[in-house]
Amino acid sequence: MAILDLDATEDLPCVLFDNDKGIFEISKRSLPENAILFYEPLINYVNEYLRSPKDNTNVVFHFDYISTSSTKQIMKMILLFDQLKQTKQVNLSWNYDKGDVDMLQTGKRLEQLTSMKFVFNEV
Amino acid sequence: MQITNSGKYSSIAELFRVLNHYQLNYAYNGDFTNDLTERILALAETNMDVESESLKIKKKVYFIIVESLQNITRHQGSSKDSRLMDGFFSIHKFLGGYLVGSGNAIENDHIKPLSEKLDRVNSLSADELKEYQKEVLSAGGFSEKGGAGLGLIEMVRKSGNKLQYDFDKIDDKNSYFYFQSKITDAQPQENSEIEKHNHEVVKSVHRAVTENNLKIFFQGQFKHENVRSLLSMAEGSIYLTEKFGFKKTSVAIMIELLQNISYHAAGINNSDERPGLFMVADNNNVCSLITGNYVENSKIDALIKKIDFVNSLDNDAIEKLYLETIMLDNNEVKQGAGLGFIDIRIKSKNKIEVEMVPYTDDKTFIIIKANISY
Repeated sequence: MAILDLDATEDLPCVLFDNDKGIFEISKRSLPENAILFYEPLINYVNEYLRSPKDNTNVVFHFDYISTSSTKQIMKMILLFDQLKQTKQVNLSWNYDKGDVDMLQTGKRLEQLTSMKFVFNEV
Repeated sequence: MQITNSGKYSSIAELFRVLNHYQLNYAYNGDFTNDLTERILALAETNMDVESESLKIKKKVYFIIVESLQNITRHQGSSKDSRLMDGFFSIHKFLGGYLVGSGNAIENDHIKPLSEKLDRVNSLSADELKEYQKEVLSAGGFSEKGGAGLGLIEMVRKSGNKLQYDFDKIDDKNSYFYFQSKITDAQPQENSEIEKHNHEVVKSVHRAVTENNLKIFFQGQFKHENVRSLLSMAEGSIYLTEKFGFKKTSVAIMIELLQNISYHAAGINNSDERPGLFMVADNNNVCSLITGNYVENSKIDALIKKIDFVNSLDNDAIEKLYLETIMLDNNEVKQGAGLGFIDIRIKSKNKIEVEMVPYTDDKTFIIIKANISY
């Protein structure tokens, strides 16, 4: 599988998925017109990765803004990594801008729905 | 119907009705930075694209907007008094054309020379304007703050209409200068409010906007590209950028409110339309983000029930509802699933307010207001 590398736009996030290195990063703004359509290929990529995952997987989210329809799709993706966590090492970092309490709380809420412990970084 | 512009309106619906009389498409009241004016221009441009305006009218309107915004930023004062500080800008769309308005404080000493300049430009015929333009160009005499009336000459030539202006005394030293330029493609309809209140459109709208503490007004199509420009414009206003946490919360709520319209709003003539309203108001440290859109009457009960329910919950209950809702599997095209209102309620820490205005037998105009204290 090739690297999935998307540049950020005014309303779409920057995406870097590298199955070879076990790195999954999404950042900036996620305000797509249709979140289900936008996240479908990303979720498919993760599903594909789960067939032959690395021993160590690093997931990093750092949103500037995220629409609730995107949050729902991100949750779906996180649940896939949560599944992987049963057998492999998965580190999930939830980064947020300094002082962005709303974004920290969104991460805390999602964490509750998993068996993982997110690493929260104020950057 | 008699229009009075005195004082605060008791409801958003009433204020909207009044502003609608002036066929207001966009208004901004406050501090203008170069960054903000660029965002306003971008919004005006996408909006005209969404409205499928002809290239001819688009170019003219764009030019008039650029000139009007430049006049505001160039003459913007520096003072603590918001009556002196705040600039005003508006776009009105009516059948057959546009009206672009602006307002800014000026020193009383400047009233006479400015009026003379405007009257001179207005008194000239098309040929005389051309001559006068050449004259000014060759003389090269620039006024202190740039420009030598060249902008004004071009505005009359491009718009094909005389420039309209007015002054309102603030105090012994300053007055507020109102300026408007009409761009017509065809002869406007006689019954248009723009025609009836010809030279007072901007003044009346400015009064209604300031007395009701409005910062931003937009009414139009909430297509994705327009929503993107509108959001960018709102983010660029100084009002929001002053406090980081407040800005983050406001923009996040705005995103939900605006997406809500572009996903769910009903059209008037066809189902592809997404007509809607967006306003930002500020009253005593409470910022109100307001949207309005049409909803089919068959869906009203469910919508109101949802909002009432979200409003009725305490902190723990709403957090629980958030977690339940996010786990609901809904792979349908309409993707809201009610998470938006829950998110708005949590982030704003206030109840969501709703106003309903009956429209037709099968549609209602719904106004939603989220309040953020800061």
